[in-house]
Amino acid sequence: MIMANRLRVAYLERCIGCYQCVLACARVNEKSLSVDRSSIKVKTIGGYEGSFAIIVCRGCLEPPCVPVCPIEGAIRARSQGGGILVNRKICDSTKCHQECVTACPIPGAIHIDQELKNAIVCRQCSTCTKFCPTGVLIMEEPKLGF
Amino acid sequence: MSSIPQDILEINLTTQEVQRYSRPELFEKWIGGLGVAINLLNEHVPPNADSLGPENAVIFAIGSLNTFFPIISKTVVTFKSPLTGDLGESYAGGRLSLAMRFSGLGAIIIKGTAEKSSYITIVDDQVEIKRAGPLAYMYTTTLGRVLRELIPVGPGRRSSIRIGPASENLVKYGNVVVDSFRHFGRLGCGTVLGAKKIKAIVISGEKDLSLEELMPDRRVYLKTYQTIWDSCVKTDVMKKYHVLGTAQNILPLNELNALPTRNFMKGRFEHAIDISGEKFAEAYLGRRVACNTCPVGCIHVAILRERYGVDSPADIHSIAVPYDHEPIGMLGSTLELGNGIQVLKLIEQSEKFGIDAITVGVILGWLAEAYEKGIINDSDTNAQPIRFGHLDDFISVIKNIANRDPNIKDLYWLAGEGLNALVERYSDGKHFAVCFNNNPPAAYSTGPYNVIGHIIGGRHSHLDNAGYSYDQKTIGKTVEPDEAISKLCKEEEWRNILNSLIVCLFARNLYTPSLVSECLGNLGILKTERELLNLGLEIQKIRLKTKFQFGYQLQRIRDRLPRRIYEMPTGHGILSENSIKKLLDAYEDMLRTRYELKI
Ligand code: SF4
Ligand code: SF4
Ligand code: SF4
Ligand code: SF4
Repeated sequence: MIMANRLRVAYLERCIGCYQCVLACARVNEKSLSVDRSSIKVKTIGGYEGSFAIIVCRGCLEPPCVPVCPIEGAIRARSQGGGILVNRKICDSTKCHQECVTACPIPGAIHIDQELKNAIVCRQCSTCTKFCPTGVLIMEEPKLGF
Repeated sequence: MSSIPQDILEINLTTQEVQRYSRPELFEKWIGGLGVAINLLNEHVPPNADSLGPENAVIFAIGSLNTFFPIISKTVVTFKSPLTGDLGESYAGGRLSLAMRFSGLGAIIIKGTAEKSSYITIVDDQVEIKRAGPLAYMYTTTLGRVLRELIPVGPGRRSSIRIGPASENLVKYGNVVVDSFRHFGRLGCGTVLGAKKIKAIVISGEKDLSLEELMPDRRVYLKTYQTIWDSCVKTDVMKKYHVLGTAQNILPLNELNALPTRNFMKGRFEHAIDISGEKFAEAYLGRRVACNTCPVGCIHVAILRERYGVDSPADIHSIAVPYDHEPIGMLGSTLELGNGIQVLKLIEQSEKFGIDAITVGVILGWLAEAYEKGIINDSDTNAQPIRFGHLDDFISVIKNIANRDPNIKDLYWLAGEGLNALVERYSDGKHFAVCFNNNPPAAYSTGPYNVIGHIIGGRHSHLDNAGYSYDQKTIGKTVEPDEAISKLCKEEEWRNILNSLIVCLFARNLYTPSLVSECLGNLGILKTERELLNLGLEIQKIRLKTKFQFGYQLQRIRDRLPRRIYEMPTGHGILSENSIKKLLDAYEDMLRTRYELKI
């Protein structure tokens, strides 16, 4: 069952930097054509001559971004599979210090959308994996205990 | 809201004025891309403008489907070409169209001339023109790295375009490097930016476009997207582009006797196998990358290991060099360089100096033949030998052309002007100066339609009408001149539509008129297939009108056709002068009837 799984950047060496994952996440989850609103980003390190990096939530089983949030009900760990869910109706980045962003050690994995005033983060939905042409991204049962 | 960003950014370098305004009627009528850029060129550049003067403009535009569907990745640029003196038009992928899309810009117009070497940054609505200072004359490769650190923005949104020393020294075929590995390659767009003293432009934006506001039914769009994605990834339509890339053409063309070799003297190269896509993939390929929205990833990048010392095996560094069929053909077989490393070194040399690889390849081929025949000698070349098969000769000559001194009108200065200027001085070399309107052809000696395609194409490019492909389909068949010309013209008209969207032409077989109509419909732009075909014809009329106003004369090209095109082997054998004449006569009829031109 998909919901028990989490997203993993499993074969980064295959990445061609095509943005299919980025645009798919925004298109399907945010109903938007956007790079910024996507929960997954592709970045070049040292330009196209260098290598690609995929920036996305790692789907923690015990997510450090959750307990720091001062607003009750804004963010919670998924019950199965790792990762988190943000309740966009409750999350309000103007009423906190964006503690979730500071608590996550992966820069950019969770970020604030200035317009929505919400935290944007992967919800482990698997859409991006279906649009990656080279199989970089997979959904798998969490084996490692982070 | 419309799916086509209707905003235009107009930057006047002379007055340093920046305006941003909206032209919805223009974008709606011409669906963006080429359709818009050609109209803006007409509005902004007077017919008698000096291509290197402040009246010339460089106009970038994206199309209505950019970023919305797979492989709609290109940006167009129009300008008056310093190489041909008429229509300048070129396309590049990379990340530029995505950066323009998310800045909300449909077009960028750059006019006037800056006082000192400058660069422009466009970050959302903020535009700045800044002094380039030490960035001037920097290699394009080094500059790419500097710009990334100079203008750090959020991940994956920045596009940087830049020119090299060749353009700053006004070599007429300077190119524009886009991000890494992509180019506005042909017709001297870089040179025009060089004349305007614009070394680089960096652009980044973070707009979101709400699909629900933009389109009648988002679910229909998601479905169309999925269907196109499936055809790109799950079928074989695009396979040849991602496996070996365009370099896969080397061996089949060689087989056809159609691989330009030794400045078009031959159609087969004895070392073809060593510069083939197969050999490159096995020995040099380092990685494959893609333009934005493209699940194919045709950009093949080699890792070139270069020794800089002889004392120690550790005196080595490695660089990433992109390769494609065209540079391999023009810098490989044309110059009789039969080893992949040599070809990669020469590609790297053109890349650094920002010089168009196709054009410089053919010019080097001419120089080598002229040197061999004694038409030019050591006193012309400053004692630099220029010999087929000698990499070091060509490395030096590219450097001499790119670094030419504007005050000394020597051989290298002339070479920087193009083949026409060279044969004006060295008229004995006229018959083997292979170019059409001063623009050399790409590496496909496939037959009569490739030659004709280059002559009649709006930008004298093999990509205008794909004559090389029509050649391959008509081997052994007789086609009436009228029929062939009509076929090529209609292909070009349809490409005007693809170039207004802007589809990567590698996906041309995927984006049929009915699919294009469907995609536009998904975004609420209603155009029937018939309307699209008519629009393609209208755009062609404007392209031709622009060419003629800028001073293009078909007769002048006809008078200057080099004899080599009737001597070189092709996929259709040796071409007869008479068959080319008949085709051009048929084209002149077409200009009068279909395109309503008085010639
Ligand atoms: S946002 Fe960061 S801390 Fe939170 S679950 Fe994802 S990776 Fe873990
Ligand atoms: S941005 Fe939202 S999830 Fe993050 S700390 Fe603030 S309220 Fe909580
Ligand atoms: S799994 Fe879903 S939410 Fe997470 S990055 Fe991929 S598409 Fe976005
Ligand atoms: S879709 Fe796959 S190949 Fe393309 S950028 Fe994302 S991870 Fe890389």
